[in-house]
Amino acid sequence: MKKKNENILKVFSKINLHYLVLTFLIIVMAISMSMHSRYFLTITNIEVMVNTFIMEAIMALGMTMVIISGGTDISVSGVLPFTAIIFAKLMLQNVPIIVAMLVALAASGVIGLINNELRRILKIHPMVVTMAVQLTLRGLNLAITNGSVISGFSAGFQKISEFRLFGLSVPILVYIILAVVFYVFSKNHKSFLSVYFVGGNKEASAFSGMNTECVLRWVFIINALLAGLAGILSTTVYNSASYSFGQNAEMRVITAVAIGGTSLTHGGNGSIAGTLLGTLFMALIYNSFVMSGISTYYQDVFTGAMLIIAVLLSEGTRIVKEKSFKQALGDS
Amino acid sequence: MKKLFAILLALVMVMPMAACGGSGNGNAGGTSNAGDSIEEELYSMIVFTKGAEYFNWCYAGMRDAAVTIGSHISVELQGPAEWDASLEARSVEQVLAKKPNGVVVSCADEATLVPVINKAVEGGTPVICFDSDSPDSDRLAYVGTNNFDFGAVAGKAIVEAIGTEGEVAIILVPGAVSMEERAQGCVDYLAEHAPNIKVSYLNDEGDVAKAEQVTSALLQSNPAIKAVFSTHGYGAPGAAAAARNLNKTDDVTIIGSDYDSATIELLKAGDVDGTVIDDPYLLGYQAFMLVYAAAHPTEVQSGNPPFGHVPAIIYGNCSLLTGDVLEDPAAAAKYENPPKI
Repeated sequence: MKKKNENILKVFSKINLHYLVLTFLIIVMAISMSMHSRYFLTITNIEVMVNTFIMEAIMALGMTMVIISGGTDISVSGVLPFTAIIFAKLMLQNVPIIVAMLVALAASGVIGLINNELRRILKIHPMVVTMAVQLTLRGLNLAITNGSVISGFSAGFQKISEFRLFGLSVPILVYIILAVVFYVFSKNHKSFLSVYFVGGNKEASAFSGMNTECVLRWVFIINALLAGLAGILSTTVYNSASYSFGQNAEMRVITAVAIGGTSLTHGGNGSIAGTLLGTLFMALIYNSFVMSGISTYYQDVFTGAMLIIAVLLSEGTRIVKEKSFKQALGDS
Repeated sequence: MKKLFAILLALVMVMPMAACGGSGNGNAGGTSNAGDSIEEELYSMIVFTKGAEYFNWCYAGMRDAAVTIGSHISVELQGPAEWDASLEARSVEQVLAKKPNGVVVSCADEATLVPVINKAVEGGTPVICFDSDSPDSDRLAYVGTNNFDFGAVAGKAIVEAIGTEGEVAIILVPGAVSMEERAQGCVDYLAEHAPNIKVSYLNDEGDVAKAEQVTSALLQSNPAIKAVFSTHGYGAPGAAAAARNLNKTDDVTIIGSDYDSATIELLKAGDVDGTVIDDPYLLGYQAFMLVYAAAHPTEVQSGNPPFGHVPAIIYGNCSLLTGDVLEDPAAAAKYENPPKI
């Protein structure tokens, strides 16, 4: 019996049960929805499904790094509209678009730096710090815009939302590039791997000679930059910028990351691949509810339930892997 | 551990099946009879702050209007729970993917939904705006209230309550066309009939808790405020809470907009002095009739080919609802029984 349990542990430690279940769910839902609605598996709907969650998908890439590092960043729902507003205001002043983008991105990067420095100096949990920054940004967004929507861009600017390359919109193209870069980096680059070490055990990482503060600084800056990029893209998609953009985006982003298997409670666990799956799953849920006509009141109930299951699965997988590792140490 | 895993796996298998087993939000009637050749049609209403009682009334009107057309009509209510125009635009996009026969939409702001509304109309889906318009879009018609008249009703109620002197605060969400027009209507009335009244503005972001905060801050910092007019449905309960907390319920006249269960209770209690109302049920009803007409062209020459002819604007009436009106049991029965969606 003991030998049988050991074998089971070895098998579970090799396969990622979380990804297996998530992939299975995605396939089951896709099949079910395609049987329920003839419009589900159309190119139009697939594009809509992706576009509906694309801003959150972009932010989820950065949030994955933050959560792996052991923290969280709630300010993204403030950074998104903040950057959108700065970008929009500069465009209305006829600033060249590249310059406007760079300035707006720089502003979002500064927010990320502020998040990190407040965390480092005050030694407060990142959730608290970024919550304060989020609230500050909300007020700032209102003050800058006086609560009004910014619109009235040039005809040329409005063409950006119509641009397609291989049938893909600008936000989707940007996301594909970012996802590939993040995935490759997460597998191969030591900078990304250092995020895992810091998240797993910050003190041990520091003792081993790693500059943990530098790692965390860049994690928060990159996360804020991605939220800023989502804000800029939102302005091009909607031809407007409003303080109301991105409400509760941080919850959708964190949920997608958690459903993808990144542990919210133990740093050092998670992956970009999981986030890609989790993001796809969330987009599928949002689309399925609208397609099936079920009241979207139940959407959050379903998403919350999936989050609980995802967290349980993720923790279960982590415990099994730890047991297997200890087993292996015991055997040797 | 094994049992826990088995239970979890069972749950994850059951949930997506449950998600795919439901029907639409509100079919207008039963299924078509065997041999019925009428094609099924779907019309969607998309709002912001989905769940707000006002929009439930609008949807009830749309649903009842659909029933009068026939059982082959299905209607649904979609939209985000948040006041986020970008989320609402995404909802419209998602609805368009299943090719509805028409869409009626109340816009969270005047600008953000322009691209998606234009895309819908260009793609052959008629779009009617109701309650909150997007005038720069290609929407075929707007059903709503003349918001300037709406605001004037509030202005009249304020002058009757406080006289021609004093200060008034107006609660609104800048950028929301309907609210800005209501505020302007009130200001114009006051300028004509009580030019000595000073007006200030408060932004509560469309949230009742925020309305309480900003109103509290104003009432404490400016004792000269004699009246507050909220240009949307959530502001009056928040303002009433602020006045109550500061023991100023008898000193400050509160005029709200629209009605919901909370406002009705406050009217009966005397915490809110009146609320300017239109008829959201009728707005929803009319909006559906217009979108149906647009989706079914007739020989009548249309100003928006290939869609059917629809008038560009339909305005409904507005009036002041007070606690006195609610003493009539028939009136109370209507306002105290919101539709269940």
